[in-house]
Amino acid sequence: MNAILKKEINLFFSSLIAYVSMAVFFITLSLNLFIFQGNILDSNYATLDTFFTLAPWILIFLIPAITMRSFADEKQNGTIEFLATKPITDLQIVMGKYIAALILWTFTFLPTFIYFICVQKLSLEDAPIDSGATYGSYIGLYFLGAVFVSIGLFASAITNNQIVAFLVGVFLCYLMYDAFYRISSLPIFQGQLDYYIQAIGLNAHYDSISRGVVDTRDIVYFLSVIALFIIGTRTALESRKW
Amino acid sequence: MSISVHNLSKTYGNQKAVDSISFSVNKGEILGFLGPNGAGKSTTMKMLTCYLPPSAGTASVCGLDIIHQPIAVKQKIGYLPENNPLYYDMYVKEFLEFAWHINGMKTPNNSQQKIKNSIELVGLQVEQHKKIGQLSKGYKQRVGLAQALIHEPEVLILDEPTSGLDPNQLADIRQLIRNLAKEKTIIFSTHIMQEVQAVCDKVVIINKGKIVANDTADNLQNMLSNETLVEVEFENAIAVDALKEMPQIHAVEKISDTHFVLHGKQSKLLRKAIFEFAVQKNNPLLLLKEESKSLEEVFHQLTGKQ
Ligand SMILES: Nc1ncnc2c1ncn2[C@@H]1O[C@H](COP(=O)(O)OP(=O)(O)OP(=O)(O)O)[C@@H](O)[C@H]1O
Ligand SMILES: [Mg+2]
Repeated sequence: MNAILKKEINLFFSSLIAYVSMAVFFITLSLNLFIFQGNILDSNYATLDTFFTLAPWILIFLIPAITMRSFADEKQNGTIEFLATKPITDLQIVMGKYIAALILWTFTFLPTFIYFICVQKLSLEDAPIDSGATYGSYIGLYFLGAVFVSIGLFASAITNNQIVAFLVGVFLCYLMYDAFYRISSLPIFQGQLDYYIQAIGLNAHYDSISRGVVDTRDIVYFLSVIALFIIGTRTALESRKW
Repeated sequence: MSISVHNLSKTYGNQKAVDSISFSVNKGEILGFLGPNGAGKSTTMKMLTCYLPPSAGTASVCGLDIIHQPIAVKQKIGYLPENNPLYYDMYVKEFLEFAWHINGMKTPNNSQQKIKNSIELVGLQVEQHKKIGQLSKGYKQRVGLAQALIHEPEVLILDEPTSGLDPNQLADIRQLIRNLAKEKTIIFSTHIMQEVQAVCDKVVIINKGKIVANDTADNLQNMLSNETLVEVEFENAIAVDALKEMPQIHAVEKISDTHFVLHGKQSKLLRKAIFEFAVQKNNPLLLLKEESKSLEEVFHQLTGKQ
């Protein structure tokens, strides 16, 4: 697994993938936070709400872009046969790639703490930023990214075409993040199933953690979704054997 | 027995790509795997390397079962897949280091030495600092071989290792394969008959998923050539009818008045008769050459349209 992890990390950081994805994430959010209309400097509230609302939508596109080649490319080039005939299990291959992409996501995520520091410095004494809720939101956002990475890998494992992997990844990320929430608010589900449908989606758990209360049920939920997609990825790899 | 294959089958959909084949290879032997396109050679190799599970039957590598002990089996094997898939973005050494680690080899201080050895073994010294994508096809092939050798496996499975090589490289790689066989067991597939004659101890010929021949290269040649051709040249012209007086001769092909190809059975008796005939007619014999059927013809005979 370490060999794969190292190879993937090298690939991210020796190509432009890592730097571009970090830059895209940071610059887009900075523009929205500090420069574009409705930024936090114009409003008088010390809050990072804009950031935490916008970031998931950027990640829905950014993370599938990072992960789209990981299996699709190996299948396309036949190197998957090289990997699969080495003395490692398919799960080790998947985990190596998952952790590598997770590390890249971590590097993309960390610079955004600068926003927190800025807002803390700028806020007035009598209206400080709500640190608890902000930390909660950061944790939620990190898990959200970690889930998207597993979804992106899965999408990449079911095809040998990178574009298809990207589009399926975006679609599944959107589905998991927003669609369940939308479906639950359809009139037919009102007052009955809406709570459960909402709870399948990522959005509800992200919101709940963002309130500053880190509930173990939310963490368990995120970890389960990650596990589910990692197992799905492994199954997709093993489908050659069917 | 280093490799033994037992009634191995693979079905894709409703097509039987490999149909209940059995063969075995001993340590130190080179097995040539022959067959026309689509015969099932690569599919067999994919099963032996645990890439695809067999639909039926079993096989073992160094006594380890390919179905129940895939990780242990894969550790014993160096595999060069068909079309030689490689990471074109990687540098040669970087890739070999990756191959070393992914084979479960831990000791890193040893790795540089092993990488160096395998680079020298396949003759990659000049090109070792390049990216794989920049190498010519022949050198990419050598990288594929180096990758298969790096962890010093007991068994080598090479799917068309010499495809796309120039004649010099071809000779080099064949020599390399022969040298390696001293301490390894090798299966390799090819379409080139001379290669089998030059390199292999054993030959398995497979057609439409079934084994049609499994023997030593020499035996195959002898067994299947039930007719011997002898090319002869006399100093003075001689009539075809005169030649046909020899009872051993079935047919005569005339090339010129003095030059013929004679068809018969039992090469040795035939040649003896021709010599005595020449002495008796006082017509000096300038050429007496047996044309044995080549393995190529054997191959056509076995795998041709039935
Ligand atoms: N993944 C697959 N799905 C369906 N059929 C396949 C698959 N792989 C191979 N086949 C079929 O199985 C048969 C054997 O293929 P295989 O690749 O083993 O042949 P081969 O002997 O290696 O031929 P070649 O000399 O051309 O490399 C072919 O008819 C091929 O079409
Ligand atoms: Mg083949």
